[in-house]
Amino acid sequence: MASRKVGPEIAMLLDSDTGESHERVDLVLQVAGDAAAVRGRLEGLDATVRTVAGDIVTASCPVQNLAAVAGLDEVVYVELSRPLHSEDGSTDGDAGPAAPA
Amino acid sequence: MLDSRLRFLTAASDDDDTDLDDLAETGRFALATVDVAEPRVTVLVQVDDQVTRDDLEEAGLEVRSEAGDVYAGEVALSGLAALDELDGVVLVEAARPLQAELDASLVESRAHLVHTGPPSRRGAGVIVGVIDSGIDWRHQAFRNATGGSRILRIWDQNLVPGGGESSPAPFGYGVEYQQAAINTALGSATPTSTVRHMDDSVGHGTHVAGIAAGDGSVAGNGSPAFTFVGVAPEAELVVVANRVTTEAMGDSASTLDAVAYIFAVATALGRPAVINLSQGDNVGPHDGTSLLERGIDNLLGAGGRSMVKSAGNAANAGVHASGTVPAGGTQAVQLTVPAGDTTPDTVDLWYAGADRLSVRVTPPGGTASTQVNPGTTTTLTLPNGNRVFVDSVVGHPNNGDNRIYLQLQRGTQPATAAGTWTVTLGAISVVNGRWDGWVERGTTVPMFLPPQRNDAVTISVPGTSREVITAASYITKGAGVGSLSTFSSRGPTRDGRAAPTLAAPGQAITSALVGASGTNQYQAMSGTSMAAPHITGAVALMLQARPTMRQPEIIDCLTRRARTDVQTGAVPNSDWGAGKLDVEASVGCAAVVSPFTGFTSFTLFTRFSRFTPFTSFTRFTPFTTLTRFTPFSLPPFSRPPFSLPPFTRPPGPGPDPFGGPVRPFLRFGNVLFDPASLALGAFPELEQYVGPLGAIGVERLDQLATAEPADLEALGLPADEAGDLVAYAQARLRGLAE
Repeated sequence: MASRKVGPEIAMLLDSDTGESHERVDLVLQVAGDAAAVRGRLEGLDATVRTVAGDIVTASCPVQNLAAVAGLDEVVYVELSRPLHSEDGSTDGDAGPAAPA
Repeated sequence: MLDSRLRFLTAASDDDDTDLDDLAETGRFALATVDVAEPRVTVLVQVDDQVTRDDLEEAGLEVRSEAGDVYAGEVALSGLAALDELDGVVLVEAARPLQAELDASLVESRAHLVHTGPPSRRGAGVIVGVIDSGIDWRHQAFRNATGGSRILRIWDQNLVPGGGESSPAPFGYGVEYQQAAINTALGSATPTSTVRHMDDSVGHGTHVAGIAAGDGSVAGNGSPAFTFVGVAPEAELVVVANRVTTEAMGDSASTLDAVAYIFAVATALGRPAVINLSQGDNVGPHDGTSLLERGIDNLLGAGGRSMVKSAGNAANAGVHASGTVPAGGTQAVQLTVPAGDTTPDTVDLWYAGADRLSVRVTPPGGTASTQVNPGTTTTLTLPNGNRVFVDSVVGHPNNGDNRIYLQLQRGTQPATAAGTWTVTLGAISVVNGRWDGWVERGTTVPMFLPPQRNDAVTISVPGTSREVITAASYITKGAGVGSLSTFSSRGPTRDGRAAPTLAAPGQAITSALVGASGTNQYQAMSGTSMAAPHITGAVALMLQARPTMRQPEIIDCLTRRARTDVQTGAVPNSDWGAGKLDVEASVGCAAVVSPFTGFTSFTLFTRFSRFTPFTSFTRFTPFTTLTRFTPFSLPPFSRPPFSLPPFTRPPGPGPDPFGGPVRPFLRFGNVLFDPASLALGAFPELEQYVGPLGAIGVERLDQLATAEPADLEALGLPADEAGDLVAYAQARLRGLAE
């Protein structure tokens, strides 16, 4: 598996004690090739494919299968799902709740 | 045809259990029951050219005003049926009690002018998708005129299906509630046992949804009903509730699932849809190549599909730094870690693929770590007990650039050391040397320090997408009215594209409150989270005007029609984008652009006069959301006025898509004419491209896009409009190419 095919969070996960966990994680993948074949290869690794948006796929799979998923020829890049944050100012800057005007 | 409120009133008048006085008091039905002999309703009536004012008055309408083919007036509730049955009456709708009571941001963005019209547009038929913390579906702001919910679907990604519940296919997680279940719950004594979804205690999603599509129909917070009206108050909602934690609101995979879900629902229902996303992430390449951004872009290709994203609130939060590492040299980047920082901190640096940079990390008061070279993944254990995970990638699959991803961890210590940390970048080989870095958001996170701190390029992912509309925020209440919000994230993108797209009101915005009760119905919030749904609502109104608009066309209208003033300065710029949202102008643009989409069969730059010979026309209904074309021919050298063959509605099953008599029009190239008179007065928005004698048509859009404005000027188009038209064609072609 080429390290450049996995996001840093996966690299960190694989490098940790939890690398063999059965726990499922959510992924975003860039894939190449026939969509049905890619889906089949992923599902063969116990991944659940959820959204196919062109060459971008969301899926979940057990941590212990991450290396194998990343090793698939059809997988161009795979990363753990990244957290998003609300933009009402609760975490950045000076925006946020204000008194009703 | 009577609109839904009038049909409801007609039914209610026959229902002994319904008190018309109560309905009149709501102010939602334009109904008068006091000081009148019998209940009367104020209506707008659209007619064809066979109907005269006398006809309407004879049918019982007390005409107050006349505007082209639309009459305003009053009619007895018992006379509605007779009015509706009059030949030539296209539509009768209840007047809407809005104008004088709208809140500041709606007036500022000129949305109220679209609501009142004519034609009145309030988002009917369009889906507003909201991906957020959820929605308080019980709030009156999300009901229709008859009390039912305007929420078509809720997908709560947090819930596990219980009895009678299911996850939406093919996603396989969370619980989906359909409109029927929501309506059942609204009528239940224990509504939240039927629909278990509820927004969280902050109510971010409820507030956002209220801005985009609330109807403000309930009085509250000391203000009368219809004070806090949303931008598209008759749109219907599809809401996806992200997983909310103490540190995050949703994640990239479930957000992409949510986008796919909303568009799938819209496709199944045959509706246009615009999605609002008021959340984001600081980590990523900020050049549109993150997987989330690429996935969203992939889902945005079709007509009637749009998405709006908040720019972020990071302009003064120290989340971004940039610099240039000189050949053979180093550059130190400093950031300050606050006390009590127990969670991992991510610093994400990107630089050109041709360069090779090493990295060292120095904790407060400590010594520099060993050097980590490009292509290396390792964990540094520092003498102070903290650790740093380093993933230095060369030739990233996203974009071919290089990335240094650092994660500061507390390691064996209770917290990451507070104070100034230094990241030292060293040139191994440098062609460009430029780098940009961002810190991940969280409750306790580092900030970059000068001189490398740079408050530009702070728009959050997926706002740096190539397709998504990115909303900056400006002030419409309190101090600094008209100025950009200080927090509003700044562009451009890391790859130098202009961003944000444009700005909308986002500070002290009052909208629907989660858990509303009694007179406490609304709350004020600030942020680009609040600016984005203003634009989302605007796009809903644009899609009502032209449901097939594609995202590039929508962006083109929003940006070309944005307002500029002394506060925006010259545009586009990295603070305001194209300027301030102008809903009325953008919707007008959406309507006027329609002749240029898909109708391109005409001789290049042919100028038509009313005596120009022509043989082929297309008849259709003008400016309706449903357009049907019926080609026919006239003999060569026919001259207006034309005698058109009788119109026969095409046979086929299903309801009449026009909802009434069809009004024939002619298309000359790209321009529409009333065949009876060739009078353009009824379509002032077309006149900008139509001279007094005729029209300018093109055979192919690419011919117009490559034309010299002077060619169009030679044909009589004013110089400023010629350039505008060419620019439009170029933008449209770019959109088609993408």
